[in-house]
Amino acid sequence: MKILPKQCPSCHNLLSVERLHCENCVTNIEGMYELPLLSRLDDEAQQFILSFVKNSGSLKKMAKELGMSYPTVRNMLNDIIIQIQELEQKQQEHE
Amino acid sequence: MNKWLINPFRYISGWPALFTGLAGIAVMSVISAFTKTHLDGVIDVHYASSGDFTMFISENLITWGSLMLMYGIFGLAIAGRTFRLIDLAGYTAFIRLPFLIAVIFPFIFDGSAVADFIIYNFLNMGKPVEISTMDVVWFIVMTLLTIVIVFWSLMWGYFAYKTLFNTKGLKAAALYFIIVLLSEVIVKAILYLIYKPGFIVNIPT
Repeated sequence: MKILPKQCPSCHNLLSVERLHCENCVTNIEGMYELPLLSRLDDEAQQFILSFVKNSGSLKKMAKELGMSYPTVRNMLNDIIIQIQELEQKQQEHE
Repeated sequence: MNKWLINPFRYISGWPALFTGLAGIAVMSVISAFTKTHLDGVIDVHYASSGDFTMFISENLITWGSLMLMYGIFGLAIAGRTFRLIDLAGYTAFIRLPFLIAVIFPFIFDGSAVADFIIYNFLNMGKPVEISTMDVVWFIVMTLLTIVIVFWSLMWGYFAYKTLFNTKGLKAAALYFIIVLLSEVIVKAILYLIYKPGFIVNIPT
């Protein structure tokens, strides 16, 4: 499976979507779309969020599933919250 | 296994950490009463000193309490109320576990002859003692291993602190140093008030 690149390999700026394609009717849409906030998070953070939702938001269940301590999992969540806040701030500055 | 030895706090927390830590402190107190090893501070290990069981258990409990207090105060200042009390209590007890090895040393190495020799020759106290080369070798080995144990506990303390409060960088290290220092001062002050001067090293005369 291909990994969606999020950063420009040349200048490390966040990439945006210019073209969307429908495989069914071969329609192409061109424009300038920003990646959704969750897609802009790193792969590890995205994986964590998926697992978090599947575990009904229980950090205790997450800790058991990952084989890690509760504070470690809570710290991972806090780091993702910081990442999201930074992305939101960047987005606001951009707008 | 190696990861557990370096940073166990990535894998353990809550009641298991508290239970293991407290069980370790209890066992440590019993063994230290037999081997006359005083753990009277965050970074203190004193061998071949007298004292009864209540003294050994109180030293361990006061050190744990002092660490918990300092971690708690600094934790609230750094991280607010985002940490659990059970983790604070468990981790501060757990970081004492390496000393479990240190209290066993007197069963393996007999460093008392060299200690008595130093006390007699440098402090003019006690009785004259003759020591052999092997006595000196065992004494040095025991001292070096004890230093390793102290650093091991300090390293665990740092990882426990980082895990509890999710802090990173130089500022975190500096604050940890202050926590250790203040905890040490509190332990010494409380033990001083309880046991009066001369409690640290009860030199046989």
